[in-house]
Amino acid sequence: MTTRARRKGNPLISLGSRGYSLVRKSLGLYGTAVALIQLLPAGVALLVVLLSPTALLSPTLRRWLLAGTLVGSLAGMVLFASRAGISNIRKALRGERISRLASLTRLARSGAVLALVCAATLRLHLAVVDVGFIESFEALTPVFDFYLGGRLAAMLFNAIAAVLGGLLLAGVVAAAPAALLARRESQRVRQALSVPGGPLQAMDEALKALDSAKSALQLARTGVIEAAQDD
Amino acid sequence: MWLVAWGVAQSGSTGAIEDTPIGARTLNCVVDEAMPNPPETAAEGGFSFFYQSLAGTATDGRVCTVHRVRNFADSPPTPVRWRAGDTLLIDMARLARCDGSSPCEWFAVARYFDGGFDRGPSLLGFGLNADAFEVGTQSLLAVTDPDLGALTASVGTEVAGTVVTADGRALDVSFTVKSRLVRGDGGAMSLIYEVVTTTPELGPGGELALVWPVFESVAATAPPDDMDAPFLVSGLVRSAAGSIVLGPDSYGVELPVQEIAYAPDLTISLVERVNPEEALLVVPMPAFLPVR
Repeated sequence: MTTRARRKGNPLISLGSRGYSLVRKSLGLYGTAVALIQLLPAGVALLVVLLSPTALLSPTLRRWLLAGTLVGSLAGMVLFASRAGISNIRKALRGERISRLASLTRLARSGAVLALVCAATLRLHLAVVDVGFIESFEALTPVFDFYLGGRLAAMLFNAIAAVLGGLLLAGVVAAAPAALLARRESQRVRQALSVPGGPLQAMDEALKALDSAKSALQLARTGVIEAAQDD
Repeated sequence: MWLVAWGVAQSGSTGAIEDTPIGARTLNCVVDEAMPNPPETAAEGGFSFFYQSLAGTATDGRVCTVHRVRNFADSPPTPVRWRAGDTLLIDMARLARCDGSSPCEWFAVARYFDGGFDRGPSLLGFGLNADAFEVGTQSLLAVTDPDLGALTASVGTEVAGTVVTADGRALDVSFTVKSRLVRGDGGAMSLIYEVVTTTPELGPGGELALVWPVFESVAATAPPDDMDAPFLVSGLVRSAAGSIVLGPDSYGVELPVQEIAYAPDLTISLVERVNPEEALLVVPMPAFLPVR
């Protein structure tokens, strides 16, 4: 009999071994958790840096961005209303089915893409007036020097940021309700198909029958093989 | 170890700055008081520069104040706006970058006037739009009080330092702008608006010019249509009412007047002739104005 077999045989040793293994696993998990917690402040700091560029400390820029995002939000609302149709929005509010599902899905996708592209571009735009960023990417120094070169250049910087912020908000404001409506409508379509006696239920029953038939055939196959071996 | 090396590198790049001694002369101002002393540093967001206000007695016996800023070596070009409440002290499109091979120079704005000076809070805005970062500081502020009944009265502003043009060229400028009141025999009064400069860019055919709202607010005082004049005036208000007073390094417009008023809050802008809408520098420049 091997040592391993003996250990397996002794319940006390087996219990101890299992306990040891559990403690070791717990320590490993604890170590990972501690490492992750230590990294957490750095992660949070990175996130804060990513989401709060120093350019936003300028009240002038914040006013421009506010104006841009307000206009963008209005544009997004108008875009959503024109694509969805006022009657459809009313129907949706009443809980009824709506049409234009494909159009809404397209709007949701294109709005999301627009918002993502504008968010990334806006972040890069705000970064080009950040001294730390420019020290890391010296090729962009002429852009930095240009934007910090005078009132007109600063105004151009503010205007571009406002346009990007406006497009970002237009994308979000148009895409978010369109996506929600499209999702709701898809769920309703699925529900309509799944009603008792509906096409989806019939398909499900057919699939169940097929599964039963497959099981029966499998059993029969096994029986045939066993009978042949007995002979 | 690394921290020590970094600290040494930082002190090397910025250079030590000493107290401004009382009695020292800055432009034409003999310093009686400096605030802060030694100059303090405004450093945020990667921008770093020194700032200081001075006050004292001008070489001609009047009162003077000086506000000055100086970039750190290798610090980026920095838009700076220094205000005390509603009063503008310095508004620079950008404080020039200096490469660190030679000591960075102060950009100084001196004011010469009758009156006194006071201590008060001021705010230095800098970075994007000159307001991304702000530093509050106590500063020495001019309190002008000219005697309009005197035989002569004068207020002036002197600027010395480097400005950066829109295309990034650094130009050294040095000029003094004055608004003077002169009473002749029999009580006849005349106002003289003049600039004294040795800066070629402000001379005939130079690329820089001064925009002073005094010429916009009182059309009759506008200098004649002279493209070589250091004062830039819009075509609408050009007039030949004033007579030109020329010196070796000076250009002035003299205007006979009956009655005068004092406008303490006017400013003067240094602009490029090709782009006069964008000021490279705005500084206080009060003036005596004719009363109609």
